[in-house]
Amino acid sequence: MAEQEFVLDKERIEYDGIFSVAGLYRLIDEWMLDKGYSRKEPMHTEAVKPEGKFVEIQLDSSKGLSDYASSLLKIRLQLTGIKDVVVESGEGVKQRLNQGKVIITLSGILETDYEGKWEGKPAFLFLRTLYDKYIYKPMTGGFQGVVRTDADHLKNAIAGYLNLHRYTT
Amino acid sequence: MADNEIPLDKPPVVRYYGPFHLRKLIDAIRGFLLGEGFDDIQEPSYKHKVGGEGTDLEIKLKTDRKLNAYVKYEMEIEMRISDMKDVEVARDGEKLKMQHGRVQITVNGKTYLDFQKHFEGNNFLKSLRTFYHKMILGAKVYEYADYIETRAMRLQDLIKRTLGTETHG
Repeated sequence: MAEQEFVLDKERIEYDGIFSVAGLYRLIDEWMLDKGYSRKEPMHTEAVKPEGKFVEIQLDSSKGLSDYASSLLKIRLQLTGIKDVVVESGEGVKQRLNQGKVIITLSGILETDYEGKWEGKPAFLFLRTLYDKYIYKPMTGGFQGVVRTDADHLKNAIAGYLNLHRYTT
Repeated sequence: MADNEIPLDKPPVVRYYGPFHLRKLIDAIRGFLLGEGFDDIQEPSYKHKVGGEGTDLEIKLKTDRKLNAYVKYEMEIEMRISDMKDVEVARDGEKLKMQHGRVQITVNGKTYLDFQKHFEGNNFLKSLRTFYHKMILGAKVYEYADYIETRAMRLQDLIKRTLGTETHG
């Protein structure tokens, strides 16, 4: 298994109000595409309940930084009490949106030896540790910066998207 | 794991609780597989149990597609439906006969290299195959594996859309 270093660990974004579930999902999807991340959705849970829908999505996205290191962003979206609402914007345009509570947790991880090339024998594993600690260290610092910047950028994009929606009901 | 089998890194799972259309769901999955060139869809397992809370269903669909004489893809879809009941749902002023229950669908896939086992005869041939994969095919192996990853993601998206979840690509 690849060596994982948490650069950003479970940063939370919380929001309660009106937003678009599909819009939020699309925003994350497009952000990943723009930044060259490949996306996987290992788990999607949705339940229709009387108090509103419950949605939980786990997204894993990764981007190779070099042959040896990759950036991995783990996003968990938890949406509770999601109901459909119709809102009217300033220009009198009616829009179908959603209302509910959003909790997003975001982790930024720097993965080294992500192809597991140094794991064949214990001696290789030992060498990899030495390599990571003493030789690759200056490079790792730069890569940590990339992971942090990307994670912060995504966090800001999500926060911006949720706060920029202002409607008059 | 044999070096000629590449399973999906994380098989996508969709969990849903609410109203859905079982016939449409199965037809959508079958249609997708046929459209992608997977023929001869088999149903190795079909379990049907009627209980107090509703019907429990377990359906497995298995199919494969040969890309060429060396590469074969296999897809396995596992559907577990519990507490399923027939319900009537009003949508856009129209009454629809649907089902209601818990659905869990796992999309699994595998890429087989040397599926005809030409290199299985002895250890020398197996080493030759490893050499062929690493030195001659090289990155092409990842391209082959990528194909099934993409199809699994697309199918997951189609399942979400058919179930009527809030988010799909």
